[in-house]
Amino acid sequence: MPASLLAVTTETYSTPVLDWHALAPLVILMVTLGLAIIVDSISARRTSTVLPNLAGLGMLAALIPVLTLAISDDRSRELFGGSFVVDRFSLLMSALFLVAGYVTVLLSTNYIAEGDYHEGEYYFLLVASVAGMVFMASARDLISIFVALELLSIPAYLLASWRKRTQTGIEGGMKYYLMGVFASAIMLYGMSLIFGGTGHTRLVDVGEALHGSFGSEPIAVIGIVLTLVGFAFKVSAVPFHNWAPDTYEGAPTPITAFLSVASKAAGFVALIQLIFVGFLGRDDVVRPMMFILAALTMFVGNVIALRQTNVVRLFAYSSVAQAGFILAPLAVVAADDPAVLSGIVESMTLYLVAYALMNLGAFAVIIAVSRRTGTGEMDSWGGLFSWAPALAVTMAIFLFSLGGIPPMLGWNAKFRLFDAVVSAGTASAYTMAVIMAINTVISMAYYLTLVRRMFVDDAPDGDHTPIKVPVPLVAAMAITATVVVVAGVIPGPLSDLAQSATLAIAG
Amino acid sequence: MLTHAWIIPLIPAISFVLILAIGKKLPRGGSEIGIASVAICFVLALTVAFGWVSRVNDGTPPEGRQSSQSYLITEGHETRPVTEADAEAENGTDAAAHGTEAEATSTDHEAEATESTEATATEDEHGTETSAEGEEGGEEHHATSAVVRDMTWFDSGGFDIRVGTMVDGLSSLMLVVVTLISLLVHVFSTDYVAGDRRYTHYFAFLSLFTASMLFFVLSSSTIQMIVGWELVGLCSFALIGHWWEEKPNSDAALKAFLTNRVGDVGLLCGMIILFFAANGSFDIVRITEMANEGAIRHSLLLIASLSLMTAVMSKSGQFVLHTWLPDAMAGPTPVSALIHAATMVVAGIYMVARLYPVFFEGLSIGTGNINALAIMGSVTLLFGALLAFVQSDIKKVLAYSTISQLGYMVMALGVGAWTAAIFHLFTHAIFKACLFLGSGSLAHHIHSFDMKKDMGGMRKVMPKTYATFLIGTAALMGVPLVTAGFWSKDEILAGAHMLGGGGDGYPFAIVMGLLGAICTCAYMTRAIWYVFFGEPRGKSAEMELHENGPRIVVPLMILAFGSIVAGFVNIPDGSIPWPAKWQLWFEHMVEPTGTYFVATNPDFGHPSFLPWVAVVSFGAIVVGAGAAYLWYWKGLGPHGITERNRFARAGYVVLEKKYGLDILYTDWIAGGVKGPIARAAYWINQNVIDGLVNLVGRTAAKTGQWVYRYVDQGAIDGAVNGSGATASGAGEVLRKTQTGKVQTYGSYLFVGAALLAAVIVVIAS
Amino acid sequence: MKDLLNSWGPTAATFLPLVGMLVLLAIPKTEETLAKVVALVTTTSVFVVVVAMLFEFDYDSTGTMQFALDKSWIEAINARYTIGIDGMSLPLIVLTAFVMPFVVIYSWDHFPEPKNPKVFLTLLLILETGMVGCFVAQDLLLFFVFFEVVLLPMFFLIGVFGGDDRKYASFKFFLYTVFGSAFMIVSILAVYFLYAQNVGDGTGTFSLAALSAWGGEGLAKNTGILIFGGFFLAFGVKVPMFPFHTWLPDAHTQAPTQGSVILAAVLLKLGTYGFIRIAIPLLPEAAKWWAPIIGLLAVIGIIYGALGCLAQTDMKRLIAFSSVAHMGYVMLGIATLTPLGINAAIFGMVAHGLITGMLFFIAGSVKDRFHTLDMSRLGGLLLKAPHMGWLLGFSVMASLGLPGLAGFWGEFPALLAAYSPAEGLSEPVFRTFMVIGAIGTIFAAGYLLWMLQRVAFGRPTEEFEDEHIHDMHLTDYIAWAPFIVMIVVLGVYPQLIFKITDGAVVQSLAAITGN
Repeated sequence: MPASLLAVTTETYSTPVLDWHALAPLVILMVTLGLAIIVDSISARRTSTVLPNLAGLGMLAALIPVLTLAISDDRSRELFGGSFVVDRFSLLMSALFLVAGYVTVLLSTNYIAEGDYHEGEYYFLLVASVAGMVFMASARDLISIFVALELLSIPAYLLASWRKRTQTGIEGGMKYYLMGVFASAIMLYGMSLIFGGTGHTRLVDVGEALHGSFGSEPIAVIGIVLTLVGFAFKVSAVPFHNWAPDTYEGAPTPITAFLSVASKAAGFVALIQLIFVGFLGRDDVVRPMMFILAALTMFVGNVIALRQTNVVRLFAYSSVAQAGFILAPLAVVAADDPAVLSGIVESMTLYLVAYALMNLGAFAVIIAVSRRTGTGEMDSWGGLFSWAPALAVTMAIFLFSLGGIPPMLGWNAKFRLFDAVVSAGTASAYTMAVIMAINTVISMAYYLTLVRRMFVDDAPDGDHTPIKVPVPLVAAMAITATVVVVAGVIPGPLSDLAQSATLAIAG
Repeated sequence: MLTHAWIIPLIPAISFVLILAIGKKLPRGGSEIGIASVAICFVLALTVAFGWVSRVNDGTPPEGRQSSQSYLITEGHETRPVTEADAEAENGTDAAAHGTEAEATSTDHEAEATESTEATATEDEHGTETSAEGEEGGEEHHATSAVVRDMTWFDSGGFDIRVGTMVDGLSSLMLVVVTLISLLVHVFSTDYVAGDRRYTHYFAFLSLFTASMLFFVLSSSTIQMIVGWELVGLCSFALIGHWWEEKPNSDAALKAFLTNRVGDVGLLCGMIILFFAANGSFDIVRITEMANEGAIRHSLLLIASLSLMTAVMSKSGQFVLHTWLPDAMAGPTPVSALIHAATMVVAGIYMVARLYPVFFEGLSIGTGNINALAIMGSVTLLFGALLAFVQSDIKKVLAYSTISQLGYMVMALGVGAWTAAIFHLFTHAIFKACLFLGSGSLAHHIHSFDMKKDMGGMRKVMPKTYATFLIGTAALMGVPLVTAGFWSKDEILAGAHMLGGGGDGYPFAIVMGLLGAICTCAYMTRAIWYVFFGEPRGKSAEMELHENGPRIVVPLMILAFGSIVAGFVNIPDGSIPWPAKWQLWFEHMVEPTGTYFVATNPDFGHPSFLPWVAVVSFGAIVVGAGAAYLWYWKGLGPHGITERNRFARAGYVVLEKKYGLDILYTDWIAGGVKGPIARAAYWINQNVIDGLVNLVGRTAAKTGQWVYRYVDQGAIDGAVNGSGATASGAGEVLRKTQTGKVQTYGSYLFVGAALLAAVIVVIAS
Repeated sequence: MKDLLNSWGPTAATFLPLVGMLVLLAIPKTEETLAKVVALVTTTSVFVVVVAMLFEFDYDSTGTMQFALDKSWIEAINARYTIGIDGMSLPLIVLTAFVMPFVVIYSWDHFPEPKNPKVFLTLLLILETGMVGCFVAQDLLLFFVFFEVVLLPMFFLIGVFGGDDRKYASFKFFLYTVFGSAFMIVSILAVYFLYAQNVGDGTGTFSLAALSAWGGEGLAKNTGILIFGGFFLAFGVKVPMFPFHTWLPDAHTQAPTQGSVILAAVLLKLGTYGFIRIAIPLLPEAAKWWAPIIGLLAVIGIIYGALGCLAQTDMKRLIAFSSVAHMGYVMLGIATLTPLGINAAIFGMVAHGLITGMLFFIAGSVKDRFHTLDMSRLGGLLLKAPHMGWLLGFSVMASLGLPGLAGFWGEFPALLAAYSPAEGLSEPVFRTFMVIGAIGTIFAAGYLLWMLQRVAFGRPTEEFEDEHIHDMHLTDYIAWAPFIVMIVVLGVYPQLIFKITDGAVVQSLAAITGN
């Protein structure tokens, strides 16, 4: 071990050549950050539409280089000796984060403005967190992964406790922060073991080293497991999920949406990169671990969600369960079967995109509804169809999509998860598929409960006056719902996108 | 006409639709359509019958080979699939051999019969099937084969299921009987049910019944028989329950239908077995030929015939499924006459007769001297007759009498006296219709059928009804020489004595038959006494009664006339002086001679006239009628014995309770299924199966709750959900986060990670 | 015209209702008549398209896919938009297209609470797309999608427009079905990958034609059995087979009349159709293993459903339970794995659709007039509303399998087929099934006539003695007459369906019968 440490230090340092095109999205986000601080400090009015617009535009602007990179001929651009890679996978994920961030801005605009919260810092932190995620999408090095993780997490901790006047707000944020720190610690410990064993931080090198003699040592196993645990926390996999419900409930709802979508996706991105670039040599370690995590996460998340009476909490557990579904393909990782590997990444990527769309959409509806009801209790959703039919239908679309009912996008995404799992063809793969099947049914039960509230029950107070939904929310709902339905009927394009992204990392 | 017989059922079918559609708007409520259609049918039926007679007699050339694209005229088993042609051809030769054998070994009587057929038989009017012609090499074909005309009904799975008409002596006879009785009943009904609340529907269903029955008797395939069989059941149901406002009527209708359904299970199973036994064909000719030729395993035939017997049991009111028939008297009386005496209830008899080779081979009728069919018939005829004794409702007496007479027919079939059975069917249809309509005539004004309470001394006020009723009764008793019933019953008894077991006969059957005859005479005498003699009682005393109008009386007269002359169509040799040409005319015309009938079977025979049987049966009349006469007219005998003697009382109660069968069926079986069993099944459904589903759901939810509360949230903490959280201050929050949950969660996190690592290390290495 | 129909006919039949739905959505809620007209025009035009295909259909080659279309759909997994019609699906498509316009007509004056024609009709149209889609899909995944799509509108039909206990019923309906289909997904994928391994050189396919041609050859026996098990769960729930039937009485009872009619007429057939279109041709060997089990459950269903009926006091629930028994005959026919049995099964599906649909219509109207379906309070319908009463009698007779009416041709041939099941299946076992099934006909007569007696015969109870009960409306006549006509026509001339199905069925069973 000391020898390998020595080997790193003896490398000569040279100034890296910066590919500005590749870095452009991050640069734009940083500029936006700066602007946000300046605008906030010079802005006279507490509430203004400037900041949200600025944050939103910044993220949309960052999408432009992402798109230009995507259509450029270079399939893969490596910076910093391969620690920072811009390929199709990272681009798709960056786009996902940026869109999710943008939608979060849309969700936040009225919520924050009308809720009498600090606005300037809010958007600043939001953009910072998104920047961390975009960074994460390209990070292929233990250190840059860690940096990205912290960059996306620390603003998120703050945002989660934004509702500082309520007990739940503070409690949730506090929990998130403390647990996050614990998880980081565990992860760092794992990373240090790996680095100690392999002498590398670059995932590619780690991967090669794991194929060697170090790979067979128990210490490598512990390293791998502990590193992955850190991200299992991030994606709220059971048993590292305890923070999620409290935090989700306590955080401002747009942030809940953001956490449940973008932050979770970032965790999955890291997991994919770690496993597929770094840890494939020990797929026999990853497989059982992910099997246990996925199965536990699905069951616990789903079963508990059955009993929730608060919509946000319901979605908290729903998102725990969804994480279990996304983890499931990792339970059949097989280093020697490229078809299976690409299937796994493809399906996970696709599901992340689909999940982001439907969950953000659902939260948009939740925000819209709670504007009227002022509470997240499910009872208040009774008879929504009678007083806000469009909202009810939109929500039903998202709920059925989350449950995996055609023709919504969710079915295709979920089907692809099944597809990836079954493609391994092993007994454990089929077991996992059956577990997923059972959980699909359980999950449908609570999604249905909410649907039933909206369509079957009567309005609790007999109040049928329609509600006014702010334009940004309408936009968020319209975008997500349309994509969910259209891509559900014609899943081709999105599948192709996921497929092309996959090639970069798994093939 | 023989090939156009399909028109006959079609006419009343159209009539049914017409009556339903426009009947109510017509001046006579649709009855005119019904009568017209049945009259046309009757004429057509006669035409068919004459066509058949002339076909048998002089072998008129076919009425043109009807071959259009959709119709396929087939002869016998020509419809067989090509793949089996070879095997069939072989069978064909066998059959021919059988035929010759039968002729050689036949008795004088038979020889004569065969001869007369031979003399008249020509080449098949449609030509024998090509294969047979080829095989037989021009050998003369003696039989007059049935005229079959059929078409594909549907194809399924390589089977060609056909529908068509099969005209021969048997079906021609049935056509005539059905249309004749139906016509008379129609006419009778115009007066009898005049002013009924559902006059039009009544006639509509009469039409439908006629159509179904005609469809049934013309069947060329067994599946068609099933269809007709069930359709007549439907009409029976509808007409029994004609006055459905009163619950007993609808109960009776339900009972009739359900009891018949029980038998239908046997029908379905039996026909299915025969279908596959005949290599996938419902064709009657084919099935019967194969059964004749021994091409079907005996065990299959046995099972099939036993199954079909259940159907006979229900439809033809055989013991133990006869219980519906007396209840069916809840329907209008003309319906009882038509459906529940003369025509529908003989469907079972007809079915056995039609598929006779199946039963003959399956039950070894020709060689044994005991078989299920004979036993069933014998038991029924006696037990039914006994039950007639305790009835006070004249229609019920007649109903049990019908059961008993049907028992005779079944017995006749069971002992091998095929012609006797059909002959009895024919005569019974006439005289029983006469009796039923007569009872209707009696009750027309008093609206009561209770002989004991509401009748008495009616011979004076209704002389014509009295006369016709008396003639009918005489026929039913079988008064020798002059009545139709005598000739047919006598032939049955002779058959029971002579046939089967190589000439040893069926001793059991003949004993039962004679006992039954005694009972018949006795209960009919009793009925005559109650109705026509003595002083008027009850309603008949209260009302000013008079004879009914011509629409009621004329049908009665026709039937009474028939009750006498019908017997002369089949006068056996050596009984009374009778032109030889007309001796056994009925047998020659009706009994099939084709390969589809057992006539070719060496074990099949005909009874001849036995003077001693006639004498004994006359003795039976004297004993039965005489005893009853002495009892009722003269007041002799141990009157009141049922009160004094335990055994006599027990016997009476058993009869009154109808052997307890009704209680068994209605209360125990039907009530049991409908009550406890159904409830138990439903309870299981709601509590076990559905309960399981709900339990799974509840358990999942409960588990969720439990996990959530005790595992997930780490501590029993009501404040977790954040409800009422604002009540506590910030300090409280901090205290909680510091003292409780976060540490717990944190430790979970670390313990979880450590455990997971440990587990994976173990698994992975 | 002909070419257009040839390639786009099924697509038009499938998606026309969606077009109509979009139009409907654009109509303001207050324009009720317009909404009804749009729905009627849409469903009628679907019917017209289907009838046009009926005329263009080549009846001499019912075994081949006609009006076929094959387009790329999800390229990544080789799922295609493959549709077509053959003899097995044609009767069911016709049935679907036939039922819908009359359901709309019936709805004209009978909109269930809460009266919201626009939403109600929208749901009906989505439903039609799903149902027709199921029957035309020749791609496993496409079928699956339509199979699931059907759930949504039906869930809302029951949940929003249903009776008092609609929450529970709709929930149960949905979850039960999702439960089955979740397992079907696993089976579908297993078939997909095993095909890739065994035949496709690594390329999987969802094409039913390709998969049927393969027929699971080279699979380990247990693998096939397990995969079939997944299909079995999905389709068995939908049929529904004992013991997965408990959703049905609740769903039927709570659904609005139109929902019950569609449920009975078409939805249940998706399950049986799935068996004969997918499960059996794909895995013939496994089908043989499962056949006795299916047969057993079928006859249990026959008897058990009947007993369930006998215990009912609610007319509609009784009719619902009778579906369990009737579908038992259909499944018995399927279990024989013979062309005879499966032909009978298809006939039984159509017949059951028409007859039970009719019964539900009547039950709905009774409820509409009397505001109760409790049989102890009903009675004397024949006096109060003679036409409706007679039709009830007619439907009851048809339902109990009276020959000459459609019901018989589903029931009897199924029993017939059970006597001689496909090679390799135990004859004694299936003959026992046959006898039990035949005994079931007694029960069928029992509960149906008993219902008829209590509802139609006798005199009205005091409660309704003086109340004016409106006999049939004009819309009732228009909506019901075609059902009755079809019941009679099919009963008299069953060849109309057997002729269509026979060729296709024989072909689909080629692997089993060895032809």
